Amino acid sequence: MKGRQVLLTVVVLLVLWEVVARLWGVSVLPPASKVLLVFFAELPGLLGRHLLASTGRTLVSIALAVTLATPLGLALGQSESLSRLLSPLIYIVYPIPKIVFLPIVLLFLGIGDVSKVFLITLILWFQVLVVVRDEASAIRPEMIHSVRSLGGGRRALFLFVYLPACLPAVLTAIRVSIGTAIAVLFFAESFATTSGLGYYIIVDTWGRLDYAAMYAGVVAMSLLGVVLFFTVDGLERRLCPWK
Amino acid sequence: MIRLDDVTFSYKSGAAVFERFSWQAATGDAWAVIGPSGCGKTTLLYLISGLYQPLAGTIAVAGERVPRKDRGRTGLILQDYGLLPWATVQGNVELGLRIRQFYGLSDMNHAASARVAFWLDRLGICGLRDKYPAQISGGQRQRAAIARTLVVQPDVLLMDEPFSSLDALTREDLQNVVLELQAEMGITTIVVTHNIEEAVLLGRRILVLGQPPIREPQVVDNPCADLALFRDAPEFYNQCTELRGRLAR
Repeated sequence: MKGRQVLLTVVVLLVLWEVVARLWGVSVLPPASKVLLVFFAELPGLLGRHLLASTGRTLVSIALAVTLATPLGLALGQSESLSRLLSPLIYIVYPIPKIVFLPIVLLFLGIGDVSKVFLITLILWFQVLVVVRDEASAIRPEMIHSVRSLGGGRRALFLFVYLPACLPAVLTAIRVSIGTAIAVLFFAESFATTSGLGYYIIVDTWGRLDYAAMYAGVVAMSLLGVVLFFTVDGLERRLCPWK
Repeated sequence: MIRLDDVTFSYKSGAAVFERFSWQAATGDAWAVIGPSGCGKTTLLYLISGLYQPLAGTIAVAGERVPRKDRGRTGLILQDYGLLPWATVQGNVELGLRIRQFYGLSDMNHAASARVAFWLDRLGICGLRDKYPAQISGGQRQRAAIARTLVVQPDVLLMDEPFSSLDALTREDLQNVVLELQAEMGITTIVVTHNIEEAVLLGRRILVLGQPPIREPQVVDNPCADLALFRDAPEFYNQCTELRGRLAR
């Protein structure tokens, strides 16, 4: 999608929001203009600090998930025996909504950053693992034979075949999981913490009935999702030009 | 020289494909291998290239036991090209050199770059160097696959039904390229094909494989393959008829 189309859509949504809020005239729906004023006023201060905390947790989780899931996914895709051993476990655990593990994770890892990062990493890890495994197992044997016939061993196959073959799938998995990951982060940050946009929206601003600031927090969280989505989209176009 | 001595091979799940099979091809010879589907034609190439290991017996290329230290010296060209979809034509042609560089066997030096440029030009795909395999035709992909194999300077060229998925004109064009390369380089070639005309055209000697397990090589000499304009000569048709009869037996 082109930048101009995105910008136009954002403007239309803001205008709609502004019109509805002004026509309705209730305090729980402040106009977009008022929320944006608060957003930009708060961004260098409290809101910015919470946005940074949430962004940091998300980025660390993405990095951890990709780093931990990709090698295992590649190994599963290549080794039938390993796949036979672990596939039943993945098959059972994959569909479980990982958010239900939140109380257990909090019990074991405490209420700090680690528990939140762990939970998001877990969500992304499964997504990346499954797509990398499927991509690695779908690589045509002819491609592997041709690289091996040129003298490529296991390490060269990883570098020249498996990694580039899986890269688009990894980026797609991250792109489609970002929404879920941020939703879980929002929920996890909404209690037992004092930093992050979940805390800012639910505990701080909602608790104080400061609706304009609350909406500014919602805008910030949406922005986090949208910017990450477009960043991964851009990375996919740059790193996978053959697609 | 390629030499197979008492080679036995079978897939995990099946009966033997080769059983104490011995055969040899002299340096610079041009062989075609023909036979029905599932007779072991591709298996033979994979054994010679070192991708498969025989259960018994030995295989040697240029006096060196297979798998060779430098496996790229036995060039293998596959039916569906085996090009990497994420690499450009140039990236694919350079692949063998990159693999050598990765293992510290050689540098991507000026001479190597010049070889890449030479083969891109020689095979008429210079203008496609920045295209991805999905953006070019089947014939152009096969040219890229041939260039990729020749860039690493093989002494043996193995081709597994290299032109079977191409249209008639492109196939004829690439068959001519192979004939030219054979004449220019004197490289030992083995072309696996299920096409009688192609076997007669590209093989000065033709190895006929029957139903497995293969124990004895059946060889048909095809000395007329060296004739100029052999494709249109009466000898070509006579040889095709003879080979067809041999396969029908």
